[in-house]
Amino acid sequence: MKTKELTAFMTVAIKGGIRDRVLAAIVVVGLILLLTTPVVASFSMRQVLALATSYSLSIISLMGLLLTLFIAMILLAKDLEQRQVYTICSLPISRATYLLGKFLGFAVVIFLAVSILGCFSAGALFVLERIHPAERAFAWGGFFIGLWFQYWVLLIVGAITILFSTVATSNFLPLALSVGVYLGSYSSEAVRYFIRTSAGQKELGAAVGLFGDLVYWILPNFSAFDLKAQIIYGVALNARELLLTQLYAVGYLGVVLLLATLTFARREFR
Amino acid sequence: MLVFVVLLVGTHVGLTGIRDARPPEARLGFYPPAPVIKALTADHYQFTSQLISLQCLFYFGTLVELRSQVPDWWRIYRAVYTSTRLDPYNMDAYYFAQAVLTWETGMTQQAIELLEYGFAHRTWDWYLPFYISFDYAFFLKDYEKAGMYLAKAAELKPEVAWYATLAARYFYEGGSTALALAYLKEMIPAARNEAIRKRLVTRAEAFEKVLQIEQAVAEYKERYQTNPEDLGRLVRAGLLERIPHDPYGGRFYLDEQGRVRTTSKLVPVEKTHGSHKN
Repeated sequence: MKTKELTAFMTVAIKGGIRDRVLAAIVVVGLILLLTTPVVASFSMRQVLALATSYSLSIISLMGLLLTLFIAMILLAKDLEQRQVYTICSLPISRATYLLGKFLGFAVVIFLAVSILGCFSAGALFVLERIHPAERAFAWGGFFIGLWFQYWVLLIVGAITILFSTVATSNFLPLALSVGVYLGSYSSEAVRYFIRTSAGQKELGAAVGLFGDLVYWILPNFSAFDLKAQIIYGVALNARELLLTQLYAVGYLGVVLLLATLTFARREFR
Repeated sequence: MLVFVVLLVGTHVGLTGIRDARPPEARLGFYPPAPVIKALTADHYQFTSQLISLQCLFYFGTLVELRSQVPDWWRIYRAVYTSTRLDPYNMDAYYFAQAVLTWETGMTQQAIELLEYGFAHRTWDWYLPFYISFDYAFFLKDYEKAGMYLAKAAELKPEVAWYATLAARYFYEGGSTALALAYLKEMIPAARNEAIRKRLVTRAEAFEKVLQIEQAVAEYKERYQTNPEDLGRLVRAGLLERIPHDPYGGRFYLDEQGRVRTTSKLVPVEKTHGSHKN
């Protein structure tokens, strides 16, 4: 795999994101976020800053997800539709280089989007913190760590969407499956906890229990990436858990991308 | 174009009228159990929890201010419960439970359960044991538990000397009116919502009047070694300038045991209360 070719595909993907005015749209969303955060937070009875943080993180998460699905869905589809992929395949460049280059471009665009939204959000929270000081000091470190893990969730969702795109023949299927994986990945841990209780075993039975367990081990455990309680309420972060989560994210992303390159390499273009 | 504008405005006005006339339960909405909401909202469950508690506040504020419909207290309780199960750190939900469920509906036990659940998570927050302590002392007359929770509040907030010293005396001497007043004065400055703040201010005013009468009764007893027959006797004895006015629109009187009561029972007299008052 040549770095030069990888960088070229990455640059194309970034330029594609800029050409589609994705970052411009994100700046507009950021401005709306900045302006609406104090309005939404003012409804709170006792936790203005907590409501503002919760609102900001939810918007960043939602916008990030929409953007991820949108970009990841068209990342391959556009080249397939415009038949550019045929030209690329005829060149002495591996499909893995093409796919990973595209993914890296996607990762840069998402990073920029999360950073822009994070900065706007931090600005609004900074002002609100001065107007409505909370009982406990706002955990700025936790806020940025939380955004970092949010970014990794989006990377994994993007990689999963790309994996589905390498095998699917329609655009809608990868999108629908990715949304399903995203939702399931946030609840698989809770389901597993329930299955392990005596009530869960009694109500669901062994087969459903086994299925729930299997789903937990296959899907990414996004609950571990969710640091909102720690950010919003200043609950202490566990350094060891964060490190393990980060390594887990790298491992999971690596496996998904590897699977995507394998399936893409075997795909036949007619 | 004109046809569509007329259609839009006409239907919007009609629809608003129909939606405004909906029964209370439909206005608050139905919330599925917390695990279902959590599974469907992915990582947005904290914000959803806060939206539910805000929905309760809007519902309560609108109906109580308009006095047009009776709030469905049980449904409000269920919504607050769901909100706390979604996000056990959501202080707005606990504050709402304390400010509304105890005084307005008599759901003291349910409110205490919610607050205890909150305190199990918000272990740094002195407000929660303070609220629980008050509820045990004032509503349930369980001074042992009240003292226990107040000690926890004092531990978390040692700079408030009031907890560690005066509270114990309030509890053991049964001066619950003074306790209520002190409690309300802690709650009012923190109340950011106007509907709730108004309620607390009115209640504090009423307790100030009750305390004023109680002090006059105590002085009368000390002076004459007997209970006054009525409040007029206190005025005639020069212990009260005049019979205080109940801000709820009722009339203060003394019961057989010489305790201060009001015909309003500390709720606005012109209003009918919910069916779930228990």
